[in-house]
Amino acid sequence: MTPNYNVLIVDANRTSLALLDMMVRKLPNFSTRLHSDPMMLLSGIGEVDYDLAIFAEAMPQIDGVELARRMRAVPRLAAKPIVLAAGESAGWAEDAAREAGVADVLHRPIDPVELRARISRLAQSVGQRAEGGLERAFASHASEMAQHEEEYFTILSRIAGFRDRETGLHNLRMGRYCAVIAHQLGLPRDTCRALRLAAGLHDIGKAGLPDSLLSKRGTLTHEERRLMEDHTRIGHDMLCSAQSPLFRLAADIALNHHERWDGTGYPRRLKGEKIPLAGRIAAVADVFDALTSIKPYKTAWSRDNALRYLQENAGEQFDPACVAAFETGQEEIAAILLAMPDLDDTGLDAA
Amino acid sequence: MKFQAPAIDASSRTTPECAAVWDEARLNSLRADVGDDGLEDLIRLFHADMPFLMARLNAAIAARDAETVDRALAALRGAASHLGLKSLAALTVQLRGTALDLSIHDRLIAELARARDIPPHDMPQAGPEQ
Repeated sequence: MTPNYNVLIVDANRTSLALLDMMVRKLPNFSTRLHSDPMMLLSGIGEVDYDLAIFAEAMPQIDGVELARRMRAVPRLAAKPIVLAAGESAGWAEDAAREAGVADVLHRPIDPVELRARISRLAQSVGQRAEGGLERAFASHASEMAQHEEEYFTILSRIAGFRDRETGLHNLRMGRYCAVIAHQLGLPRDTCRALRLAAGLHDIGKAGLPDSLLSKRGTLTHEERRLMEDHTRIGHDMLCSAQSPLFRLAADIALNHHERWDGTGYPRRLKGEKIPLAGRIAAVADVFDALTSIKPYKTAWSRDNALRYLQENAGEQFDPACVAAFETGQEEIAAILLAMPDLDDTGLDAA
Repeated sequence: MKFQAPAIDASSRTTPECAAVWDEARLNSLRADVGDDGLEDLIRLFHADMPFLMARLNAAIAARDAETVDRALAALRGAASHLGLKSLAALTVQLRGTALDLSIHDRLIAELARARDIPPHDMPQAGPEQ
């Protein structure tokens, strides 16, 4: 039985990140996962997992000590050791780091031998994930499958977006918003991931609508509106025959993301908790992204204004618990908005 | 003023300047740890990042945003110190808190040009790794 440890390394500077990666990977049975944007990492915190983490002290937006505090606030991660890669300064207060739950502090320039000695010791102290050859082969197969799943869903989300004349990353952003809400609602890691992937297909049913309807500018007639609303059922029908739980969740979201908490939504006019939770979460994420994006008929709203809209409509259009969860995750939401902007015309020309 | 990443020359000759620019002990310890190729990759990555860092720095100087300038200098110092670029690390310390003008940019560019050459193997070796 050989232990196998996953080390999460977060440093906003790519050179330092690459160096830490090289140093750690010299240890047999240690694998690394690298992140250069701590806020984007936090936006997906519901899915973050590691045995041991190394955070740089100084990073823009959020420092390593605060990042450690946030990670340790997640019960699943509370006992996982964190090493802080700090600056040279001798007067720097290590107390704050220790208080935030940092297990060890190393100063720059980090000595490779020292780093490996410390993380080996910490890894032994947690002493977990003892995996034999067969278990490791299985784990590696499962991670490959998960990677494939990511690719299928990302590509399908993009295809659905093109058909819907979404120029940017609406579908992928919306999936991430759903994962933030799910995490804030206390849902488990697998559910956060499933929602992030499945929510990207919420509008796939629009592929079954006529071009003339999708490209129409201006107000829709009553009949056109009814036809447009059918994209929920069409999407559900496209996805619901699948055996895969992820596709079945996507079907659920496609069908229910336009239901309203007060029972006046479509297609089934479900009310309150009769609406499946995935649909209630997706409704908040979808509307927020539409408001903060530029559309042919409107400019992009600021994050604050869009949040106010959600709050004003909690209990009518939206599940109040989902809106509250969205509000709690505002920092992560802001990071997603910043990191995944829609391409403007210049960007498209350059592509 | 646009910063161009200089070409990396791994086969450079020893110059007296090398000793002033690089911390030999650090460089040898890195070489022993990540190998010649690893070290070359790291230095290439460092230079590839410079245009972005300099753009951020110039924008912050133009906006009189002292906090962002300070953060950019701190980031540069961290990477320089990891790679053993001792004179660059020292310069970033000097520049923190100086007047916000483009002389910051010019002095960094001059220093970065000195960091282009990786010193060759015949620099004194550090003791063997334990």
